[in-house]
Amino acid sequence: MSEENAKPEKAPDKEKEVKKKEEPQVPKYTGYDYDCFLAPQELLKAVTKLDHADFFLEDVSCVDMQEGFQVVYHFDRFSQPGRVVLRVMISRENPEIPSIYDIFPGAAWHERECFDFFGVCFTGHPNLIPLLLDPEHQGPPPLLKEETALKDLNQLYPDRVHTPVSPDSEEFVKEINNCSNQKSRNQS
Amino acid sequence: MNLDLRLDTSGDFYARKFQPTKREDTLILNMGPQHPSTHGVLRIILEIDGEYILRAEPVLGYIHRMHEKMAEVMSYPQYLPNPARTDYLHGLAWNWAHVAAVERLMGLEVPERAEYIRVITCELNRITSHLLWWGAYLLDLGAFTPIMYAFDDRERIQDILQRITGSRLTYCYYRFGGVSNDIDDRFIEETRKQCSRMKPRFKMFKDLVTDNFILRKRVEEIGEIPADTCRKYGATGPVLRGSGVPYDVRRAEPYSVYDRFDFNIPSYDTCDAMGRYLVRMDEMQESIKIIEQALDTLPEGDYIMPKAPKKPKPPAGDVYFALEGARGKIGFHLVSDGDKSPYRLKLRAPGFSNLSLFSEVSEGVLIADAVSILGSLDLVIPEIDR
Repeated sequence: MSEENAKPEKAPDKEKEVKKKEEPQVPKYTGYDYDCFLAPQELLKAVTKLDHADFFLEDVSCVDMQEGFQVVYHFDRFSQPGRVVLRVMISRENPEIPSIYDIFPGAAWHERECFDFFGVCFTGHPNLIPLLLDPEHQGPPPLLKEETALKDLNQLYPDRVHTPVSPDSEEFVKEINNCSNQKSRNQS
Repeated sequence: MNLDLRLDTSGDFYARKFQPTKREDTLILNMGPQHPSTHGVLRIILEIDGEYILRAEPVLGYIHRMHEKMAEVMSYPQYLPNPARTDYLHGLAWNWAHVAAVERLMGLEVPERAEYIRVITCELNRITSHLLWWGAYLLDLGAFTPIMYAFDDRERIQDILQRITGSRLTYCYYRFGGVSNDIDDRFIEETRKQCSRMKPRFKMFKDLVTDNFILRKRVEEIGEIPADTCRKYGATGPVLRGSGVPYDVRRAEPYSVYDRFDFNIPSYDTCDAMGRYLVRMDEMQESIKIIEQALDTLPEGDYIMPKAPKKPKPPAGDVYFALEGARGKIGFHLVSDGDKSPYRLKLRAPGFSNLSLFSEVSEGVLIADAVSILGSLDLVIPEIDR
């Protein structure tokens, strides 16, 4: 009797465990309404398009990973709120990326901050000197990770498309024009 | 031993890197880092012609503490007290942004009662922040009395918050999945009393200060920031709304339960320091409206998710969470690799973007007006330096 009773009890336990593992893993809404990867030489073109579409720059951030530095640009819009994120991969050996200062002068400080923390060089920046760190700071930039701690794209952003999008493509133009957080929330 | 006793007039690193205009009859002057009107340790290198500013360049980093690195070496719960120490005037908003970013990444739900408590306490904190700004700004402009009135109300609100949160300034009240402590009847009663006490005081503030013509001479048509300049520099909050753009994250990107309350987003299209001043004065009244509505409809239930993880381990991925602080849009970009501490945490400080436009706005204004502009931007230096 006891053996027979024990079997059906165990089965639902396993089901519950499986459910528990699956449930909380995916965020319903990531805060991004359009997320795309770009090639470094096409950054300025894409940012110009965003400027014409009335976006403002939220911040410039950077993530250190195995493939190199991922420079992350966040944009949002006053009239039709929706967050666009541009991700640009640059190599660790030659961390150079064009500065978007000429399009968004507000980027100057964000870029200097990235230069401080990661040593990323923004070419064409008018005044690339330390902003928050001591100018006499010695040693490597503080937010660089040790080789052993580095993760790659697939570990950090699983289930994402990492292929760069062209800012000239119809898809890009359509996505940024239609970008709205109201819409992506309704979908999720 | 060879001692070079000649006076070195080249200045420090930043003074040498300063790019002045080509003129030769100008003076380079350091304002700060200990100037009282810079509210802490902000330094501005000025090139002046008489009393007029030709170029201004803020120098940051005097209280930089590297909060972003601290996030990477601490576990999520260990980092909980940190965010409130960036913007010490609106600490709860930063505390909220941190827990909400983690909650968003984990898909963690927050009980309704906890959301209401968060709204009430965060709005109370917003009022204290604006009150301090009001008092300190007028102090900058030479009026001493208003800060006494401001602190009268501010202290009462801080007493209310202290009973519940346990601190008066650098709050660490929100937890992953709720808040650390439930509110009680005494809190509700005191908050209601304080709300009804403050309502007539805004009229008194207006009669005493806002309509005063000495103040108006110092703020009207001073520091005009066109809306497009705000967009180019990413300025948000009262600075943007003072330029006629009614953009508020609480409405534009609704989080928590803000979409259930009826409140206005004040905006003034004068673009000057007066516009920013009036936006903040109106915003306090809107906050009181939100608090009263939230108290009326406060639901029963848990104040924290019963199964909320004490030591969260969010899945790999990244999220962005933005909310409206007293100074503008606070943003947390959280990248996780599934470990017990973030892989990367980027903090977007609204004051950082707001201050970056100062250089452009201050061209050609009087030094005394620059003080007025700086004050109207509502700077909190620890938040800018992080």
